[in-house]
Amino acid sequence: MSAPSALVGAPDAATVWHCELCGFTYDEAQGCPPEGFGPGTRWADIPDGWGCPDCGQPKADFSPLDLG
Amino acid sequence: MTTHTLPQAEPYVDRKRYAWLLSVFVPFLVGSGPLLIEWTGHNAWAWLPIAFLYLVVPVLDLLLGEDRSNPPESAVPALEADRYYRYITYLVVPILWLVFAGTVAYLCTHELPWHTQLALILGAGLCGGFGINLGHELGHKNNALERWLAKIALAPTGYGHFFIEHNRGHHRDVATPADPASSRMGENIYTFVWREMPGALKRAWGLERDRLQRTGQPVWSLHNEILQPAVMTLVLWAALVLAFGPKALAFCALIAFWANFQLTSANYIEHYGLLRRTGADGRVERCQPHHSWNSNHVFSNWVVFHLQRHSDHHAHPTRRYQSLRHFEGLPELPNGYMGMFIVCYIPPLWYALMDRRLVSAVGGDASRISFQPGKEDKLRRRFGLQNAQEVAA
Repeated sequence: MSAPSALVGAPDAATVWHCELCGFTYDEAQGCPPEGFGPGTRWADIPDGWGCPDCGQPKADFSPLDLG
Repeated sequence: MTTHTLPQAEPYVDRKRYAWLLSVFVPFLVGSGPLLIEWTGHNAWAWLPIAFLYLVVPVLDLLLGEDRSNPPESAVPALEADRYYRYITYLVVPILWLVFAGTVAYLCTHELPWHTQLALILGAGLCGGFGINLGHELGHKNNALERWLAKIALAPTGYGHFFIEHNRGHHRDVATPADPASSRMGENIYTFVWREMPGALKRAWGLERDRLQRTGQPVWSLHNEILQPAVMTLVLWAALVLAFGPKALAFCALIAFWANFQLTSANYIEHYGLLRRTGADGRVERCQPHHSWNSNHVFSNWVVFHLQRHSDHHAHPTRRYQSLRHFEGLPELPNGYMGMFIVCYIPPLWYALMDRRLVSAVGGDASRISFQPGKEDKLRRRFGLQNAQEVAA
C-alpha cells in the first residue's frame, strides 16, 4: 500500500498522523480502541513507548498528515 | 482475471500468478509421508518429501537461478486488490491442520521403525514451518479475517504468539542487538535458538500485556491475542491425546519443535550480522532494504510466498507477497532458504560462506555489523575490520 504524503506544518496542530514505514493512520477523532486509545485521544497523550500496531515503528517515526 | 490495466501502457501480466500455487502444493507434499507409505507400501517413501525439500529445491535454485523482475508500481494497487492471491493463501490453512493431526494419528496407530517415525515427524514439522510462513504473510494484514487465519495457521504448532512478536517486536528491533530474532556475526544457530525462542515469547507477552492494560482488559482473558491461538492449540493437542493416548503428546511436541525451528532457521539467516546504526540523537536508523539478506532464487520463492524477498518486506511490511520487489545492491544469499538452512546447521560451513559476504555487504564497515559478544575482537582481526569513522580519521 502506498502511504499518503505528509503535509508540512506545525506538528502540534496536527490531528492525523501516519506511520512513515507502513502507512498506518492515527486519527485523533476516531482514536484507536484496540490499542486502548478512545475517540478524541490526543496524539500528545499517546505514550512515547507506543509503537505502530501494524509494523512496530516507534511513535517518533510518525508524521503529521494535517494541520488540525 | 489475469491482467492488470496500466494507464497508457500494455496490461501487466503477472507471469508468476500460477507459480504461487506451489506455495500451497509443497506444504501438502512435505506433509504427505503417511499417504506415500500407504500408497506404496514402503516406509522408505516417507523420506521422499524431506529429500525433495533439502536436496531437490536447493539444486533447482542453483539451476533456475534468480528472478530480478518487479511488477511496475502502477500495477501494484490492482495486484494487491486481486483476491486470487489471498484466496490461495487461505487454501493452506486446512492443509496445516490435516497434516498435523493426521501425522500424529498415523504415528500413534502404526508400528513403525524409528527412522520412519523420524521422517514423518520431520515432514509434518516442515509443513508446520510453512504454516509459520503463512501466519507471517496473513498476520501482517490489517483485516480481521486474515489476522484470524494467521492465528489458526499458527495454532497447531503452538506458535500463536509469533504474529504479535514479529509485527510489533521484530520489525521494531530488527538488525539491532536488542532483537532476539536477528542473529549476530559469530553466533551459531544452536546458540541463537536459546536466545530466539524464549526471547520471542517474552517480547510477545510484554507487548500484548501492555496493549491489554491500555484497553483496560484483563491479561488472562480471551481478549489476549496470544491466548486465543493457545486455546486452539490446547484443544487440538488434548483431542489428539484423548483419541490416541499420551504418546500423542510427545509426537505433537516433536513436530511443533521442528516446525518452530524452521522459523528459528529463517530468523537466523535473514539478518545475520547486519546492524542498524544508532545516530547522535540516540535513535536507531530506520530499517532499510540493506538491513536484511535477500534471496531472489526463483523456485524457493515460489514455494514460500516470496518470503525470501525479505529486504523489501522489512522496508515495506504491509506489502502483499505478490508485490514484493527486488532491489539492486542488497546483501544477497547465495541460495534459497532451504539450501541456506542446511548450510547454517553446519556452523563452520556457514561462517566460511557468509562471513566474507557479510563484510562485503557492509563495505568492510564494522559499525554496520552486529557482533556476537566475545567474538568481536577476533572477527575484527580476522577480517581487518574498522569502523568507517575510524578509517576516515
